[in-house]
Amino acid sequence: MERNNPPFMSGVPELLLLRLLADDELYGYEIVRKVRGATGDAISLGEGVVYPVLHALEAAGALRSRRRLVNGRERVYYTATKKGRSRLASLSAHWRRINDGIHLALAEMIHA
Amino acid sequence: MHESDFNSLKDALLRGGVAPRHVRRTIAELRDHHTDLFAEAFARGCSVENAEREASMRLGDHDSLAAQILARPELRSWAHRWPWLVYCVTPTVVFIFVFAALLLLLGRSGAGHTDYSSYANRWGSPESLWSLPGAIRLFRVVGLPLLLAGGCCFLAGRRRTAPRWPIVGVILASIIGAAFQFDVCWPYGANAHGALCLRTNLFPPFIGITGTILHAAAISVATLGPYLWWRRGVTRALS
Repeated sequence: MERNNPPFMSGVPELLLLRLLADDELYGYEIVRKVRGATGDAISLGEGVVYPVLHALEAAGALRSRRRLVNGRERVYYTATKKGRSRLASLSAHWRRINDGIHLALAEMIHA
Repeated sequence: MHESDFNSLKDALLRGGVAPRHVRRTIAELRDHHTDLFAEAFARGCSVENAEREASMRLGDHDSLAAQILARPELRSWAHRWPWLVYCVTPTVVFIFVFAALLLLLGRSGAGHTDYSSYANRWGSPESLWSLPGAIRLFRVVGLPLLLAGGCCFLAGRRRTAPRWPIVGVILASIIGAAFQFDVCWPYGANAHGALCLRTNLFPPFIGITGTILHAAAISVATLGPYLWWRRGVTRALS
């Protein structure tokens, strides 16, 4: 698996977490597994790094959490709030613009 | 990551100013995550040592985890952002409010506008500690300054704040606690008026300042001593 360029990846964990948690209620370990699955292992978050992002999103009101007892273990489940969904929409639009721009630039370079 | 690594990470985060509730939760979640990673690797057939190594590697090392969490300013505590507010302003404001409440309580009990013997019959002899005025006096002289100074130490210990702030807070709380006092002037004789008298010796002519200094020093030593001793122990245990 390739190491992702940290500065270029800035904002990606937030986008991925919001996308996953917009439809589902998950805890940290599940989130990391789903990110791997959803990105075909192209993006691998440092597993412990997911927690400061989750806590920061929760502090910003984009996520909410609740404790649930599952198989005798208490886990903290996260889900996106309404504010989180609107933040996801704006982040997605931003990343699509960047993606389109890169596609365009790559295509021009190939045809040039 | 071993238990000692989690403890060391917890200490690093607290010293970095991350709010204790975020630290507690982060450590608990990381510990849980580590358990899941270990179980996953073990179920795949790894030995205990290999499963432990893989779980620790995937979770991230102490320094990178600490750096990622400390890079989030929104997780910092208010005590880290405004230590002067917590260790200097808050004890002063709390002292003023509690001091005023004690004075009000004493006034409402009739001290100063009831003659001494009627008051003593109802609430007990004001000189005795087992009376309302005695208990209020004891709390004002010992309890309140100790609570304020001890509160500064407790907060600083919980948040691993740099020691200069609790030291300033404790000295301030001790001086204020020792220097501001009130007394009851009892009315004697018919139509006489008593009063509740406020006094401080922080200003000239500094009557009784030696007693105040000793009082403040005793409170400071009683609270800062155990705190600094505990802090030294924690620092030694982690190094």
